[in-house]
Amino acid sequence: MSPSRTETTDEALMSRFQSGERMAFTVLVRRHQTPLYNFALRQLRSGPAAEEVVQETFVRVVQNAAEFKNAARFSSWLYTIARNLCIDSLRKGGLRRHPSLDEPQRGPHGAHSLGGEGPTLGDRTPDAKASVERAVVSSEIRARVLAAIDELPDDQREVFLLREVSNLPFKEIAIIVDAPENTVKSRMRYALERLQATLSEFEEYARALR
Amino acid sequence: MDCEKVESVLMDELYGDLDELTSAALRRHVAGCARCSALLDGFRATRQLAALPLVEPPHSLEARVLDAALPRAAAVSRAVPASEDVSFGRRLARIVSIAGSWAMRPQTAMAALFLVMVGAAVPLLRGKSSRAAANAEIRVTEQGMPAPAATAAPIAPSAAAEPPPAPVAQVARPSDVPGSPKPAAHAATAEEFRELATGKGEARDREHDKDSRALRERTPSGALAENTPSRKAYADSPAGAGVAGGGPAARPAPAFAAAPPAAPPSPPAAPVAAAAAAPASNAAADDVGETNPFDAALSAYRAHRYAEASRAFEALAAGDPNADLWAARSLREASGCGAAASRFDQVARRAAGTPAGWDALLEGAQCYRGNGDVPTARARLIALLGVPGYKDRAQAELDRLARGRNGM
Repeated sequence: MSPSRTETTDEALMSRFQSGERMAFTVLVRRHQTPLYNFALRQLRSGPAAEEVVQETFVRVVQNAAEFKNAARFSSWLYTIARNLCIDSLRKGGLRRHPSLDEPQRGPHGAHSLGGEGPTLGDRTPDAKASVERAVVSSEIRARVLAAIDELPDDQREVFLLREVSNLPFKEIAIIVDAPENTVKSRMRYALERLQATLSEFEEYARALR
Repeated sequence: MDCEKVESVLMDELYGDLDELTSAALRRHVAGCARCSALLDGFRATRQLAALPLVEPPHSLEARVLDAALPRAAAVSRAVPASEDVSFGRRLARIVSIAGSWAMRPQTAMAALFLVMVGAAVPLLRGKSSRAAANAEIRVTEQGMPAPAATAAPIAPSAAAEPPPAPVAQVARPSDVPGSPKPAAHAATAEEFRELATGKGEARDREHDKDSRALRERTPSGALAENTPSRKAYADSPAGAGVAGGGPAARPAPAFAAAPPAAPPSPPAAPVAAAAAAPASNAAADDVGETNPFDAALSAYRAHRYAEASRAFEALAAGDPNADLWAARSLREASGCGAAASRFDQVARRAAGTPAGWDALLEGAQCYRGNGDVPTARARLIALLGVPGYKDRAQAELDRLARGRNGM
């Protein structure tokens, strides 16, 4: 997540934090915790594990704050830490899939839904009758999308998440995953192609939304 | 631009990372190339389909992150409002945050420490200098008790029956009283809260003078010092003659000698004695009531007559920071922390930079914690971390807050 032009940059906030302004750290936490949490959530497929990664990431930021040089992007550093923590968690193998994230749950009308998500596609349509149908379809799409992302190879999934969820440029992603930028772009393309194949039945629906 | 070039910059175009010139060239090619057009459209549709709404992390995550990363400054940093529209409590905590950030600078920290040390030393120096002169005139008593019951019978019950006043210097640490769920309104302004913690400003000097006088007028036992006029009058009265030494009277007052202790007083004598004693007792009572209203209020507090104590202390609060503090304590006992929290803030503001003010900050924080208002409690406790003599207690309270949060 990049700050708007009127907001203080991450690097400026880190500089102020290094000078002793702890308030700056709070701003950084608030700015990055949601996309960071989502990145870890989609990687680890576990809410509690994702929370731990977020917490530990910021702890390490504080612990190593003195070593941060403004020549590098703060977000690159932040996600490098988070990515390493996710890798460590996955290697430990102590995580299991969380049903509520990957499997659709039945809602009050029998429709499949994923709890805690944002507004459905049906919420945007004024037609009440059609909106119910769209809600059902969109819920199913959402479940399929989650499953499809989950099935991506690790290297493609992390690039996809860093780009789509954390909104980081390819140049930064290359630093985070320690790969050339062109390699990162290739992984992104492969990820999109896999998702395209998996979700092809809904592609027409997606085109209709544009 | 050709298809091969489009392939190489496709991801950049898809995510808007291309410069305008290259993007324009790509769009011109795509407009005339069905293959590249289908390729780009396909990826755009997939992106749109795969766009997941962000899942909001648990509300408690931010606090846990700050607690883990910045244990001591968590409350300070957390007080930063996320938007313009913030409650007074958040503004108050934000001021503490700003003050804390300034305090982190070495020069500011040294200057603040110097001011706190000077502020803490002023009452001691003033008290010491005045006490030196007073010591030449008075004899400090161990207890401010009136004469024993046998000789003090004619004395008005209100003057004789009261137990020795509790030492004012002892600051009882009240147990936490669960108050109402709603925290009271926060009265201190931003500027005043800074003064609360550091004791800067004219308010501190004024309150210091008042507090010093109040402390000088009380011995450690809580009774009035004997150099005060009212105390002298009491000592001069027949009823008070036995207590000029301050301790339990060893000899009966002359007025009481008319009635033998063992025998019931004869009717003529008793009224005479009573009449003789009555003015004295009245005088004593008046003296006690007039000169020791604080002790009377404190007695009511100790007798659990909190509403009465609250009224009595409130009547004295305007000119006495200690009475102000005890008024807040009485209100806490009578009505709970829901009502008392803001009253403690009021004391802290009025007695900024004094022990009474610091006690009010500490006990107010305990009240806010009891009310469930953890951030407000933290703000006050953090302000006390820089006050010598209160740092340990404030830190203990902060640790208690942290344990309570982690255990939730």
